[in-house]
Amino acid sequence: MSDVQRAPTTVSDDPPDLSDEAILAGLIAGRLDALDSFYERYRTMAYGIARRITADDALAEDVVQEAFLGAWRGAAGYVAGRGSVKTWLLSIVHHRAIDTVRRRRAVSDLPDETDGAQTPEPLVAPDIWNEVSARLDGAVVSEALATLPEAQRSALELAYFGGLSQTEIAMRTGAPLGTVKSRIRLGLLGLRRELEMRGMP
Amino acid sequence: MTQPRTISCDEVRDLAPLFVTGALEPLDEAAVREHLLTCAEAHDEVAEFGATAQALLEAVEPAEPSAGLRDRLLAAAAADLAEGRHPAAARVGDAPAAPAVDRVIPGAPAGAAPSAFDAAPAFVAPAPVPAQLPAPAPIALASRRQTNVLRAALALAAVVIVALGGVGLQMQRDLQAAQAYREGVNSVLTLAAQPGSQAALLAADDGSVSGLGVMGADGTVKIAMRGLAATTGSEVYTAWAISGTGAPVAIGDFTVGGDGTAVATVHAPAPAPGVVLALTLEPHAGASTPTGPIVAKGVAKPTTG
Repeated sequence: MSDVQRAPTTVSDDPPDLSDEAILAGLIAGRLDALDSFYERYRTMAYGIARRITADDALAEDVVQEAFLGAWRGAAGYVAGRGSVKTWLLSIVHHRAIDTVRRRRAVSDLPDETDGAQTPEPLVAPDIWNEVSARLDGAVVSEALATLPEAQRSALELAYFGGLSQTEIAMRTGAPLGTVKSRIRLGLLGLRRELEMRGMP
Repeated sequence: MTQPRTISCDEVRDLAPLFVTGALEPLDEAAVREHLLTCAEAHDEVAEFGATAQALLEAVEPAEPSAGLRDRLLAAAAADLAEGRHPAAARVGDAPAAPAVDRVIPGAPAGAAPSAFDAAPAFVAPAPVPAQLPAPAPIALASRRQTNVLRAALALAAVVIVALGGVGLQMQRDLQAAQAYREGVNSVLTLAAQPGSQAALLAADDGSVSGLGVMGADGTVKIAMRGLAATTGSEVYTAWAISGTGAPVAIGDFTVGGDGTAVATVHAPAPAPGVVLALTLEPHAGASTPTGPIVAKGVAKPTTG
């Protein structure tokens, strides 16, 4: 008389040290536990980046949520061999955060506003990092960055974390356009050289 | 829309550092993108500068988001599955296909233009919810009037799904329950599309339990429910049909597992308009009068002419 269908109740038996690739496969399959693992693993990095760029806790959380949802829906679009899963995720976070600050700037177009772009926090070695390898990477990059001339480092940060264009950086720093351009080029070249010297690819 | 200007390989090499850090003006950035998409050269310098720029992300100090963010993220992801926005849940309906990546632009910066690294489909402004619900095939054959009624039923069902989707759908079990419920709603709506069917939104007064019940012209009743407490031992949920002032007539029993989802088919002897469908929790199957409280109920209304 009754015909009852019930969802199967399977329990995840994934080991805690799931590889990023296994997590990615879980995201593609639509597994919420994979998304949960992914979030647990990268939430502090993602939120750190989003907050660094937006300089706003609530906006940063929105960015992180959008980014993880973007990864969740678009995991099938990840191209293996084009950088690690981590890089892919953090790039999405970066992209969303930059979009957010640009939209906000377009709305309240005040060049002298005191936001994160104008007064970038110094990039320091993290002390609450919960991943050993990530901490090493972060420390190495921070160290490499610290060797750059201040003008180069600042130009890089205004562009990459402030979302400012070459023209906007020139206006903000008072440097000519061509100088901004060469600072960014020299900054990237110097950073790459320093990273290579420290054994990072 | 302004057409990006055409630039040379040398210009791309010159602009690469500004491109990867997002420092180019929009028109120049579009020109570089356009060039990279069509150029036969590999432009390794863009990928190399891009990798260096991305290394900057490693140096940012991590920070702990609020605990609520995890819950919001997982609830939103579960709603994706329930509403067919995730590719893995999009088999039944006409949800967006998995994003296509035609050509990768290594090192492409953040910006308004599509980036190879950001292959996710747009999600900032979700489409109207009823359009997201997988529609059963018979709708295409239904009359205009039927379609209108069904559209209302679909919207109703979508509201139910959304309301439930926001409530702590965090575990794998919830995900599977969401999928089972979605399929159940689908089969219920298929019955609703047939001539002579009546549909009822079944809900608890406090909203903790909800779902749909549809009576076909032949007395077949399909029920899809969520949020029910699990049955234990000999316990069952009993479905009742109540016509006018008449006594409740038991039309079927079903059990519910830990996921709280039920998709049941029962039979009503005489489907009449305005009949009330109700569910009670009973200690044993085969009850002839309700002994437990009503856990959900609703009035059946014709879905077609």
